[in-house]
Amino acid sequence: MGLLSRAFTARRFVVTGELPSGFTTLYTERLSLQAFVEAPVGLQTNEEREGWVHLRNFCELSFTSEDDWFADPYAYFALRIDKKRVPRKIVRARTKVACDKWAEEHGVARVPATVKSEIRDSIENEILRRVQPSVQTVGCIWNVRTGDLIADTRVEARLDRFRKLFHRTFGMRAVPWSPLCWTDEQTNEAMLSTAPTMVQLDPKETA
Amino acid sequence: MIDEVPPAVPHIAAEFLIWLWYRTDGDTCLFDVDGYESVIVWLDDRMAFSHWADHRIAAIFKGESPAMSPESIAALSGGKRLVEIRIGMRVDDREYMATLKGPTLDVVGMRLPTILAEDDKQVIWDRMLLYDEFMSVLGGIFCKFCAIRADADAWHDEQMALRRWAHER
Repeated sequence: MGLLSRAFTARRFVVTGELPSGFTTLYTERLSLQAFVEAPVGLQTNEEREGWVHLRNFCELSFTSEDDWFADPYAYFALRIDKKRVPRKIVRARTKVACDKWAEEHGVARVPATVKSEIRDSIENEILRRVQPSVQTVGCIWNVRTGDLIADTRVEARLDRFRKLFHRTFGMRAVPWSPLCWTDEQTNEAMLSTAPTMVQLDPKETA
Repeated sequence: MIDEVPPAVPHIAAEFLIWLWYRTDGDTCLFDVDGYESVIVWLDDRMAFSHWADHRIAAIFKGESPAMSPESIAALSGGKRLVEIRIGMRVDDREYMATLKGPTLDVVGMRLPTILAEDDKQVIWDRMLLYDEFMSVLGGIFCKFCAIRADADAWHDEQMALRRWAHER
């Protein structure tokens, strides 16, 4: 996965709050409670599923000991989000075929809207039972001693879900990091009061 | 742990990237960063500019050395904001590559020096040690920029020098 691959992306966060005593046991339990659960085979739903998985492999779902997620001082795990998507074009085309057949069998020119809706739902459910979900992940490595956390995506929607589940799991917030975390308070105040400056050249300089 | 995090301000990151471009041009790519013997930074094969008014990318320059191209200087001189650069960094004998993006200086396509470990935990330790070194050096360079940027007189002089540099290029 991202953070362990040769080239990776890292968006940085700061985890604010205190680390509880005995956190390795506590966090193993919490990761386990919020671990990803695979949808039963044949489930007819397009509902999204999310939960924690191992950083190395999103098919490894169990957190039974700290060895699964902790290399002191780094906690490493990933958010997995599964969603089944029904291909609209196929549903539309198959619904049309089924509706034409129904109209022929019943000797009518047009299929009533309620019947058409039932036919479409039944085709969607049939496809949902067979289709594999699309999988998205957000991997993270969190230094639990300093609070520094990096996530392997810049997609805001995924990061929002990651931060929400992180808060639900650990009771701490992952706040977006700023380059001004590198500088001291006095410099930050001065930097934040600066107005943007541009390097745009005067027309006479470019002439 | 940090209790309060200062905001990430777009113009500070953009000005830092422009300053880094200016400071890494020619022979000035050697940086003096506390705790490191030798730090060399150079601009690599990608730069992207946006308009100041919005965040949409207005121009992307790729290739062997976009930092040296007249088009990139024209974009800067035309008042566009530098929002993305790919840099190389050599710290002692270790070489890093990364694209810095946006107000939080996200790293994209980050390449660390080769790690030989195979054990999962050792890989995490080694990679984070290297990532932290890269960020720590970048932080040291950012602090040098802030020392100039936060001082009105020093920034005025730096800006004049920067404009001269852009004009002469």
